[in-house]
Amino acid sequence: MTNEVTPPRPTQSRRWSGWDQGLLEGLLVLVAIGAVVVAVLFGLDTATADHLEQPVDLRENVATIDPATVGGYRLKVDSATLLIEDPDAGQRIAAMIPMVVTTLVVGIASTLLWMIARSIRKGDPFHRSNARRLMWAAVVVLVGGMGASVADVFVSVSFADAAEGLPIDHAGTLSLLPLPIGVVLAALSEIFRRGAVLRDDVEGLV
Amino acid sequence: MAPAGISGDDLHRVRCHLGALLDERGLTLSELAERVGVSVVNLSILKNDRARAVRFSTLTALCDALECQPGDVFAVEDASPGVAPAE
Repeated sequence: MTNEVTPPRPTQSRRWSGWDQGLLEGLLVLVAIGAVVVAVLFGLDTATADHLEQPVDLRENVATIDPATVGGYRLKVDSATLLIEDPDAGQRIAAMIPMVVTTLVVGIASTLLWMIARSIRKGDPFHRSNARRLMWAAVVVLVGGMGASVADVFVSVSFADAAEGLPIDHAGTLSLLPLPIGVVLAALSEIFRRGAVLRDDVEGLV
Repeated sequence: MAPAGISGDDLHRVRCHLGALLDERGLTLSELAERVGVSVVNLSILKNDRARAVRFSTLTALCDALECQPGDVFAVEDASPGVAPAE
C-alpha cells in the first residue's frame, strides 16, 4: 500500500465550447455587418429625405401650455422634434456625421474583436498581435466614440440655433460611454500583452 | 547579459541524450510517449534539443520509464573555444 498523496482536483467550471465560440464570432460578425448596413441606410435616407428630424427640448414657457391632468397625474411636455424642411447638402452632411462616425467605430472595433475571437478558436489567443488589436480597438473607441459624441452635440446645437425664433433648446448631451469602454479595452490590451510574455516564457516547455 | 554573438537560446549548453537512450533500450519515441504520458511532439522537441525547459514531473516520468537518472538524460556540453562559460 503506497502513501501517495493525490493532489486535489480543481473545481470543475464550464468550459468554453464550440457553441460559445460560434455564438461569439457570429455576434461580432453580425454587429460589424449591421454597423455597415445601418450607416449605408442612414446615409441614403438622410441624403434623399425631404426633411430632416432633430430632437430638441421645449423651453419652460412652451412646455406648460395645455398641461393634461388626470387625477394625480400630470403630463409634462418638454421635448419635440425639429423638422428641417428641404435641407441643403451641408445640413444633410452635418446630420449624417455623428451616426456615420458611430457606426464606423462600432464596425472597426467589432472587426478587431472578431479577429481576436478567431484566435481563441485556434487555441492561441495570447499573442502580441491580439494585444495590438485590443489597443487599436481602445483608440478607435476612445477617439472615434468621443468624437461622434461631440459631433452629435455640435450638430444638435447648430440646428437649434439656426431655428431662430422657435422656443427650443438643443437636446444634445455629451455621452461619456466611450470612455469606460475604451479604458476597459486598453486594460485588456495590457492583459493580453502580459499573457503573450508568459506564453513566450513557456514556449518550448516540455 | 549574453556575450556578444550568443542568443538567449544558446546561453544553455544542455544536451539531451534521449535518442541514444531509446536506441539502447530498443524503444520508439511513440512507445516512450505512451509510457511517460507526454505527447510525441513534445518528446521530439526534447530529443532534438529544441526544448527550453523541462518540468520535474516530465523528468521523473522519463527516468522511471527509461530506468535511469537525470544525468543520463541530460548533460552540459563543453563550452566551444572562445566563449567563456557563464559564471
